[in-house]
Amino acid sequence: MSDPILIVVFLRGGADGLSLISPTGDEDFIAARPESLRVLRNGDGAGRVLSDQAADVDFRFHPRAAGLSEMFEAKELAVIHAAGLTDGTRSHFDAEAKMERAATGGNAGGWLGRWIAQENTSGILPILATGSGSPDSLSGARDVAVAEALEDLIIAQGHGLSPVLRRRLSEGFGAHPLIGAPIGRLIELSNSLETRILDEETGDVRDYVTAVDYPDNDLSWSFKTIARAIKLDLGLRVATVDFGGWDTHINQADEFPRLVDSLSRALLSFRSNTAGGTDHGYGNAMMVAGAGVRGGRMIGDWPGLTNDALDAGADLNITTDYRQVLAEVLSSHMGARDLASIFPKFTPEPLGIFT
Amino acid sequence: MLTYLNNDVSKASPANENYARELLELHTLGAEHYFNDLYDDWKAVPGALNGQPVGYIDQDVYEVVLVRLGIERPSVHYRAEIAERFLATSEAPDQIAQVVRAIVLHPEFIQTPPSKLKRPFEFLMSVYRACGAEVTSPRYNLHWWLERAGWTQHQVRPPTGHSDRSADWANTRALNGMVDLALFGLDEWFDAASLDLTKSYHGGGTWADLAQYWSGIFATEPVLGQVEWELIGLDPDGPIPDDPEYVEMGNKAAIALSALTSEFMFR
Repeated sequence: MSDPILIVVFLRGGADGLSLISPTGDEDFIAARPESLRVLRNGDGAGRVLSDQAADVDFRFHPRAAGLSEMFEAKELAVIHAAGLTDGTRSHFDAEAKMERAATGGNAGGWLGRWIAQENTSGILPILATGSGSPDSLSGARDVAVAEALEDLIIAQGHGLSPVLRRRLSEGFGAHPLIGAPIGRLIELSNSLETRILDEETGDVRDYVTAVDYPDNDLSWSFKTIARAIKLDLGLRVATVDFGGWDTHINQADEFPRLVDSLSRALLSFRSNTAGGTDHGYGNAMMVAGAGVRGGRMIGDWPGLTNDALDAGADLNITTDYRQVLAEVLSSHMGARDLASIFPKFTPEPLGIFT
Repeated sequence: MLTYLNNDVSKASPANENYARELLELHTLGAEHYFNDLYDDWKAVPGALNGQPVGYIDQDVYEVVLVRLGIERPSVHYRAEIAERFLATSEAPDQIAQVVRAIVLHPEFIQTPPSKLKRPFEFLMSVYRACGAEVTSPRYNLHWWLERAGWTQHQVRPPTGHSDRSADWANTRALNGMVDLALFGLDEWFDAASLDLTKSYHGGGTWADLAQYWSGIFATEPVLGQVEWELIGLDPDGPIPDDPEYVEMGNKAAIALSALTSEFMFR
């Protein structure tokens, strides 16, 4: 059996979890939000009921989250609501940084970086970050490749100067303390991928034809890149996806449904494209999906939205520390042995996300 | 603009950071470059109509001061008085310049080896600057290729929206992206800068002379040994054919190879 794979999807910008998986029957929620910013219970735009409820408030997926709903009802996706930072901040930059490090101290690195340090990840492409850079969660990890598409890892693809550029980069930067390692990684990957994804005759990148159609959005590009890496058997263990744009302070009524639609459809396509693969996402509502997940369930306590229940009278209270979810994913799915060093000063209590 | 964007009343913390930012901008630029009491009548500013105004025209400084005093529509006279007040209190208008000069001319600064990896945008612009290219009207391609190098907007907290840590750019995406920027940034289709690459800037001679010329321009060590010349498929001592296409090819290659060196990629 091949090694398990973990895919972390970060909805960047502070996604509105109360609209993604919405307590539609909660009186306080109804009182606090205009109809345009709520998931409704009736009419054409009604949300999709979750067959398992964490509390008697009629939780529904956003109407555009058909794919998530389908995966939930197929018991492939579990929802952990009211999960997040227990020492919350309303700055999503700060919140993201804290969650990605999952430890105090400037040199601790990220939680994925600490897990990778414990593992003997080998293979051509063990760690892939599909965002614009390597996320903080991978801080401290070795062998990270950052690329939107696999062909982006080929140096000067098809250009006459490619051989001399490789030599120059290798000679000029091979021992460089900062960029020696990523340059070395790039040259290795470039050489390996050339033989795998370029057409021998034309030198062009071979099309990656998927068995399923992906929706036309940026998130799909990331998922397709990951799916291709899995299919090429490059030894992928961890991939990260940054899906931004959720900072919907204004115009949420228009923008949020579009983002939910992108997320839901791309995730569903990816799931069909990589049967046996797994993926995991997290936000203020966290979701875990994939093989081995006891899906179709809402996990965790729902604190409610009465004034007394809110954090500082304003925000959804956190009843599940996000590290509970991450720790369980790493131990149950990825086989992590030493959780204490990955999540220092934290004692995980399994939530029963996995079978 | 400050008023228009509601920044005058926006507070993420007890301090109004927008106001502070405007004051920093004022003092960075120096008051003598900043004030222009013709800002409401910008067409009258000498040089404004050909895109080269003699002074920096910005309404925000007035706004941050007057709006905080509760005056929404200040008269020209009143604005002029405020401007004079600022000028009068700026007894050392070049103080920022003096500080910068003291820093960069200090022997320790000069002797410290460059350790900061340029970000993709800075890298490309410094390529343009080094070879004297004129930045034209960058549009789609520039943004697309910069994003390809991981230089995406607004992903990091202000002030620049881009990480200032070199380690965040020391990854395969940014580095291979910079390779592409060095290779293609001067191409006509890239449509961001203009430089006549068919011209023999090095004054004629051999391929080695051309390579030597560009390493001098980029202040880098000559980078091509025998193996490199073989990989390129050229005799370094051979003459460059009298054909603009060959000259262009040589210029492009030498610029890319000179730019992709530690001397140039780090500052």
